[in-house]
Amino acid sequence: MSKLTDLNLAEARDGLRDKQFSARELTQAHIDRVAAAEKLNAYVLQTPEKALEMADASDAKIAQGEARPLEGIPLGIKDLFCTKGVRTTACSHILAEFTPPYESTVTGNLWADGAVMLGKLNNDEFAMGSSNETSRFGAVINPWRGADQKHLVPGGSSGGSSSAVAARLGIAATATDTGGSIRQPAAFTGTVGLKPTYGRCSRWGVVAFASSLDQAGPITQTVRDAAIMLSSMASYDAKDSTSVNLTVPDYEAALTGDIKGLRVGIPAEYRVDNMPSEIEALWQQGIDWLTEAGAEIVDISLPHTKYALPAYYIIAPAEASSNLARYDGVRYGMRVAGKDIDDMYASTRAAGFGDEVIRRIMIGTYALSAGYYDAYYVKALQVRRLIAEDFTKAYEKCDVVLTPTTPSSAFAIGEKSDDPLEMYLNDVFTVTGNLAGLPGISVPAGVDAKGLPLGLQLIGKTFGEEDLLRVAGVLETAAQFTARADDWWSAE
Amino acid sequence: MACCTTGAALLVSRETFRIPPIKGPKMSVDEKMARRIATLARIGVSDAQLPALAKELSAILGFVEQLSELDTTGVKPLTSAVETTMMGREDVINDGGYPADVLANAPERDDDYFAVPKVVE
Repeated sequence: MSKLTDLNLAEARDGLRDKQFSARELTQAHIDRVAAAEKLNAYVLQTPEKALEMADASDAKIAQGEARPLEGIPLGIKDLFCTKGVRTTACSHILAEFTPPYESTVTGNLWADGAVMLGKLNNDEFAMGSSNETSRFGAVINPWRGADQKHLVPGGSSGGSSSAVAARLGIAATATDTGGSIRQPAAFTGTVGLKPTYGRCSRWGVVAFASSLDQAGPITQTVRDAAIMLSSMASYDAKDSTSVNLTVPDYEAALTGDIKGLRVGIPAEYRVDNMPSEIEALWQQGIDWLTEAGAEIVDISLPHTKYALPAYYIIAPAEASSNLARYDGVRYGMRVAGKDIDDMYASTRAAGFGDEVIRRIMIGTYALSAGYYDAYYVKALQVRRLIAEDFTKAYEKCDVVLTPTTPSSAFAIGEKSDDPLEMYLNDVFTVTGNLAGLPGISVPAGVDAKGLPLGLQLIGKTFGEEDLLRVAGVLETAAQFTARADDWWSAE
Repeated sequence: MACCTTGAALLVSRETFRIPPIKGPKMSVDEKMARRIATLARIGVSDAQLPALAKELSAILGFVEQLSELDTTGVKPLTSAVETTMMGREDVINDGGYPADVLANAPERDDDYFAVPKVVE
């Protein structure tokens, strides 16, 4: 039998049910691997005692023949999800040692299905970033590296999640995606990242960044694992007024491998002038794989694509400036004393927020302020509708859209951190999905000349996760991406 | 549509994507405006930080400026990507009654209250 930390979710689930090993053994193997991987800085808090307690409860359930869908599966949880009694910081100083007295709906769903928590995963501060370099706990390192052995970013904002899954520091992880924060890190680490349709997973108890764009989803080793995770994470929740009351399908059952006659759209506007040739070639390879599997390839146009990033950089900061107004040093988190209450607010927020968060709050404040509201905010919302309508029209001709996930493979730590605009370009292929509320998935499909992973993205119709996963499964089977990062990080 | 031709390439380099240099000369936000935004956002900013902040904000606004070339006359703003009807519920208290939990993370408290610096003389 292979090492317990080599198992994917479906394998671990089956092994536990067949009593090949116990939940405690599986969890202990992951606890040990996490403890030895501090060089990657993927976890900001390890909870081994809680993990073993949960694993023992799972073993009892399995012994009684009452195993639930995720019984005994050890997971890492992005530090954006509130976990009852376990410190939750969004990787910002301003939340200090905040310890939620409640559980997020998504993590609550996972525990109710028997999953085990290994700890909290690093992310960009308030999920604002594409490299996981803005965390109060420092940068996360990508387990993958090129021949020069330079440390690379794992993507962001769910960089702890992607790094952990790629390094097998957890069988799967939760993540969130506001502009690409699940799919881009998955592409950078050779993992699968699924952003569901807006409203599919409850946002209740997830630290808010931009509420009309934020959506939780999994980062996993395989497409099947993503389907299993989503079946547990998704639910209707009266505590999130934007959660949608639709039955959660058995997503795993959608993985039939049969995509005959399914129409795959290729958007002309995603053809980039100076896109690296490997990405161009990989995209073509993806088209060929899906054609061979019986799909019909359709040329489509999404004419407003190039306006997606500028619209996003008004809408997301505007919502962030409103959401982050709650951090005032009064009810939780950090407080810095001031000469009066206004001074206390300003001093607390100056000390508690990092540079990128301050930039976005200020852009959002400006865009929402009197005299600029129509020119910036309303304009961006109008453009958002044009972008969403592009997809509506395209989906008259096709069922899913195939694109590259990112315009490059993982870059070096520090390479783009001095220039926020350069960093924003990372999300150029993913941000449209958030603006239109559509589900998207990144599947590892190959490596570039440096030997670094590259992902292909599929974008689905609203609540079209089953089609999306079915096509993703076909891509995964065709790509046979089995490469793993060499383990250079484990402490002996 | 005049804004963009079908099949036009999406351009990812900063030149072709019209991304201004982060500390370029074009300034739509001056130091006075940066100060005003910081005050509105309740973020303490020192005078020394203002010039760099004004330049960064100007560059980002320079980038989003390209939205203005799109004609959006008559386009209804999209506030929610998935059309849903807001669910109603009975107007009753269905949660609460645990002040200890609510106050557990308070930086400063006084009995069952959050404590702040004196606001009213």
